[in-house]
Amino acid sequence: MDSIYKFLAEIVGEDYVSNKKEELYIYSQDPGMMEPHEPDYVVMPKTMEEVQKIVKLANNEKIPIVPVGGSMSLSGLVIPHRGGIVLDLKRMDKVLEVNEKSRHVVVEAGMTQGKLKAYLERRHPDLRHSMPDSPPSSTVVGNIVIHGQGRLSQQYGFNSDMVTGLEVVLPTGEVCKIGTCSVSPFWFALAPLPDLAGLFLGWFGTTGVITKLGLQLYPKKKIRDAEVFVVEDPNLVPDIIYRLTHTEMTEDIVVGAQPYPLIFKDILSIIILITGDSDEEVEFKRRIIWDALRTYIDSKEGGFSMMTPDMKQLLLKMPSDDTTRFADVMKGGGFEYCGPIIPVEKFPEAYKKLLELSSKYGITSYWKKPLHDVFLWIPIQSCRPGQYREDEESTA
Amino acid sequence: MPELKLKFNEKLCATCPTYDCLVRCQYMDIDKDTAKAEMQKMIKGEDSFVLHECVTCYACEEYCKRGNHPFFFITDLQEKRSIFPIPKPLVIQWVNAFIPGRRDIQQFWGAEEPVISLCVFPEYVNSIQGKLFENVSIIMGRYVCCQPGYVHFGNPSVIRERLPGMIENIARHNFKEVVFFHDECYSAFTSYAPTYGIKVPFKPIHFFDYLYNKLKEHENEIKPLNIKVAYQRPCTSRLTPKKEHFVDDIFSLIGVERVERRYDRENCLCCAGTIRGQQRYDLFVDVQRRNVEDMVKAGAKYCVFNCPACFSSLSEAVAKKGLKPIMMHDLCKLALGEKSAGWE
Repeated sequence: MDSIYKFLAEIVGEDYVSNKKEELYIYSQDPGMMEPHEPDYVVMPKTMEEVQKIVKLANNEKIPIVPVGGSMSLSGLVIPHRGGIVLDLKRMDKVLEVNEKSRHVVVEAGMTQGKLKAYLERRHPDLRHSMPDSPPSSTVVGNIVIHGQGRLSQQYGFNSDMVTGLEVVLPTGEVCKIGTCSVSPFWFALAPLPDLAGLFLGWFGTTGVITKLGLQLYPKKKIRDAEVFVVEDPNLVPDIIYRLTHTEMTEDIVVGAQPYPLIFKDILSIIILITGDSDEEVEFKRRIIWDALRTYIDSKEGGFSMMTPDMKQLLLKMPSDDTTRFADVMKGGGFEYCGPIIPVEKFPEAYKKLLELSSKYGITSYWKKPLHDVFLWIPIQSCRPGQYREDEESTA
Repeated sequence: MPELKLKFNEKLCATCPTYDCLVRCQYMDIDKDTAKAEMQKMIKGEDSFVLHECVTCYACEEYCKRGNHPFFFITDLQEKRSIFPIPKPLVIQWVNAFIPGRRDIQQFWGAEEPVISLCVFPEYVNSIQGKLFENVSIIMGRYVCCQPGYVHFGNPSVIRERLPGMIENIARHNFKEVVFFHDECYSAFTSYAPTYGIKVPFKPIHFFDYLYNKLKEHENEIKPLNIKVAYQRPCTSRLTPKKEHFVDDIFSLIGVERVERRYDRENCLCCAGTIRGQQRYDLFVDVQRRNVEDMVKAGAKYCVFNCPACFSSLSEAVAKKGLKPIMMHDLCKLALGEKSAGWE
């Protein structure tokens, strides 16, 4: 048994460290297209103190560390390209605190999106977090360190804008707290201290291992409903989004386009989600939203789509599973995306470029435009040799 | 292919004593003189407010007792004058949605009669089970989609382009009779096709005709439901009123009372799905509200649907008022002590 393995086992216990080939294999890849690379060790700490000891050990021994949550990142962020230790944080999955009145939650780093959603639905049914469309097994921290978005990003910004506090183990093994939690027992805000959260948000875990997170929660309305406004001309989309956001009546707005099924061919679908505590509230919002787009309705350039209840249910699913179905994950497929963050007025340009790329490389693309960025989602057929290379070229 | 022309008799229209086609319209307030004047304008190919305000509910086709097809005349003229009742992107969406499937669908070969076409409603496959559907074969998909929805969208020529191909697809199976689950399909093959001179080489059977005869076979197993129901007539049933008796015949067999209400039979209201598609939201809400309130006032406990599209459009509004929305065949199954898969 090598000495590193022995030290790691002393920190977390024999059951939570491995250098076995079959387990390293699992940690060698993500669901995207990057080349796999195995780590030398996988370790699963349970506490911040264990994380501290592991980081100190790695620092002393100059061993690279890759912290992972759900390992669902698609861009190679969780692949240990230089080997070393994969720090799997899944065991740190507790909800430490929910403050109903100031609406925030404190969670450990391994808390998954699905578990937090279920926890809040069961114990705090009037509260919700900004759930992304990533799989439920992805982690809350994993999402904020990549500046991810969620169902509430249209109203409140990137999910990383919703952070109210951080506990981070620095590369030296020291512990750093950010926000009100650094000077009080409360985790409700980053202000009024200088905001150092930017040292860790968007850094993918490279500047420190986040072990605890304070996150803003939001009112959960009893009813959710969906409308889809369809247009042919992408040049109309920025103004439509402007008009919709001006109403302050939408939960979320997502623009989508895809060639299949044929009902979506040659059009852009602007998915508008509405919430309310009563039918009257939903109806009030719906009418304001319809009125906001009246110009385009009257000119016949756009209109609210006719939807079956089944179609509506798919749109209301949280997280959405449409990309999973599109990518044919059940048959071993996957998907890759490129997600440039762009201002909304650049939408038509980005859309045309992405269509051009899809056409050039013969790729069936599926893409969405939430508030800030454009995702081009490309299904990967695992059975087709050479697909990885083609997709890489097209997303480059 | 030669252009398929509507058999609209302009002289017959000019001598109409009632102009019921427009006078009885439930969505436009038109007196007889105005109706005559507007029809004359349209016969000359001129613009008319009717072309812009028509909700495309098909009712005038039934109100015209002279069989002169005012609805198809109006919708053809809408297309000729490029008056789209719904926004263009929605037209694109629905024209693309049902691009006919030309390829053979292997699983349908070997289908034996009785054969039921589910049109484009695969979600109902699981409900086509039980005593009423023993030994039936199912065909479905864009391969056999009837296509007449385009009268709602201002482009009925799409129907005429596609319908012969659909008929050909079905005919290649050499079925003598095909049962059509979707009222729109039945009406397309028995009314729309002959109106435009399109031949149909098989016998279309309405789903309710099939249900009635099957129920008769199992008559001694029926336990009367003893419930009051409202019936939601679909728009295309206006094309084929002769088969409407099957609704009452079935209700009678299964012990169901069809409540007397204002918006039933010839005076029925549209499910309003198309009105929403026309972006007339206030009218959509008003029509659904009046319809459902009428059901409630008449004492109905269930709303029975014929058409799956009506079910999609109206079932939520019905359920919110405490009525149970149910498709006719599911109601029939209840009378035989059966329930569709997934029901409690």
